[in-house]
Amino acid sequence: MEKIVPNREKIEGEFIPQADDDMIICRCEEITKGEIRQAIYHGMLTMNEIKRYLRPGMGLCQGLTCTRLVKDILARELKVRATLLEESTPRSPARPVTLQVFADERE
Amino acid sequence: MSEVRKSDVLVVGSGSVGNAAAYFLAKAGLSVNVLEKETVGNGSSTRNGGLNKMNFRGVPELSIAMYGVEDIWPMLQEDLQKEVGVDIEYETTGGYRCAATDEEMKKLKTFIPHAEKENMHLEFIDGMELRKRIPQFSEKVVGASYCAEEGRANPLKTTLGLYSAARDFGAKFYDNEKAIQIDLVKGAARRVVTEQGNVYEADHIIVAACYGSRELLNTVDIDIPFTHALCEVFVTEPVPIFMKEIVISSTGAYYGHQTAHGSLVFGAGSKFGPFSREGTYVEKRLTSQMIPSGAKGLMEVFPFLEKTKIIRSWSGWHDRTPDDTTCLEAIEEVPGLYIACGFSGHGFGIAAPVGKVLSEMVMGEPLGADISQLRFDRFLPMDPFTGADRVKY
Repeated sequence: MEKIVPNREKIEGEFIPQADDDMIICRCEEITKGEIRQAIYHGMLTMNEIKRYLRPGMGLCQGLTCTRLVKDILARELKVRATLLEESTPRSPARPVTLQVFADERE
Repeated sequence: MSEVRKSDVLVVGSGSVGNAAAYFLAKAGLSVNVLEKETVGNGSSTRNGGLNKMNFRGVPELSIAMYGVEDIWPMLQEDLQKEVGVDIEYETTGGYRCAATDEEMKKLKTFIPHAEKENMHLEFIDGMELRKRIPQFSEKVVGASYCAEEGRANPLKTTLGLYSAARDFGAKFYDNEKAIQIDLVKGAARRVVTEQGNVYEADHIIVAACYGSRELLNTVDIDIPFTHALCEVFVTEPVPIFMKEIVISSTGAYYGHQTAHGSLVFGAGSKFGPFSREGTYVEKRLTSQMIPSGAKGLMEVFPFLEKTKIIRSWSGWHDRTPDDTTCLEAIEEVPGLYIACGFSGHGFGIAAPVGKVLSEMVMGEPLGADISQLRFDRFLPMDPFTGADRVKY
């Protein structure tokens, strides 16, 4: 599938506030739709960049809830199909694991 | 279709260093193009722990590191907040270099003469005093060297904040453009060709492309003998803030800090070898050894964290020079070419001052730091015929 290369020269239009901008999208890190949309206008044009800039998907659930929502918001702002956007990099462990378990060297 | 894009300055590599240089130059009114082979800040700039270590930093780097601590980082913290509303979380927190044995403690004291020369403040404390300051430290730490100049910043926000601000000042960023060749015009570096077939022309070309720099610089007969080494970091869930200083073991078994956000970001020198794959690009990946060894190291110093959860881990590459010290210079033999690479895993801590010094070099201003010991030719053999220090091309 063709990868979308973000065009960093311009985003069409200006940032226009929306009525539901204060809706929480990432519950773990409490990030709103408005913050995500602002970040896109600040030049964060990939899922990884939004994640690194604002932290959605970096909390306890690691994006299980918000990844698709963030992606939809990004797709809408960039006016492209969400399926064409690259995922943010998934990170191990898949579920939080205590330090104690990792540090246990027994077989 | 291929295009020719012109600017005053061309930066190759959109990491923390490249973005910082682009930011300072664009802010000064120059036109800047930035090339990036993947996407902005996808290399080691957003994969490191965010430390600025000073204690046991390569001695030739201390001058520029002090320039960062005293001037550039605090200035950037304020400016990026104003310009793009990004808090890069920079703080000169101080840092502990922890020793597990008296032998290690003795070794820590060998840095005193270097620190004194740069007016750094070192303090040697025993385990008792350390636990008085941060009670969570275990008995396994017998002492520590405290360096007041160490600090930390958020590498993600710094790298992307610099990009965002540079973009506002008019710098142009090109993703998925891998620079493959530097062309000379009348002996000076003037053009860069990318894999995609585009040509970028500029009066000044800055190469800050981490391990990719070696291949690119080879096209103008410059070879810096660095290898790339895999390094891994993990992060825990947030816990109540109990220390703001950065913590590094004197043997390198663990290093990290508690972020402003409360999570602990720690990496580990797992001593399983550098995983060097010279000349080939291998996917960034995790090994199975790092988190266990890092978790063990961290639990030994902070046993109360045993039930704390690790929520994420990642890896990245170091561009590691033989002396673990960076190369930063305006190349004498190739006018218009500037290099900033070989940061050996502690580049983020000096990214801001390096970016600033690069901008000073390009604009012909007096440099804020002494970088005379950071020339890449320290790795070159003496010319066998003339005995000159530097082999002329």
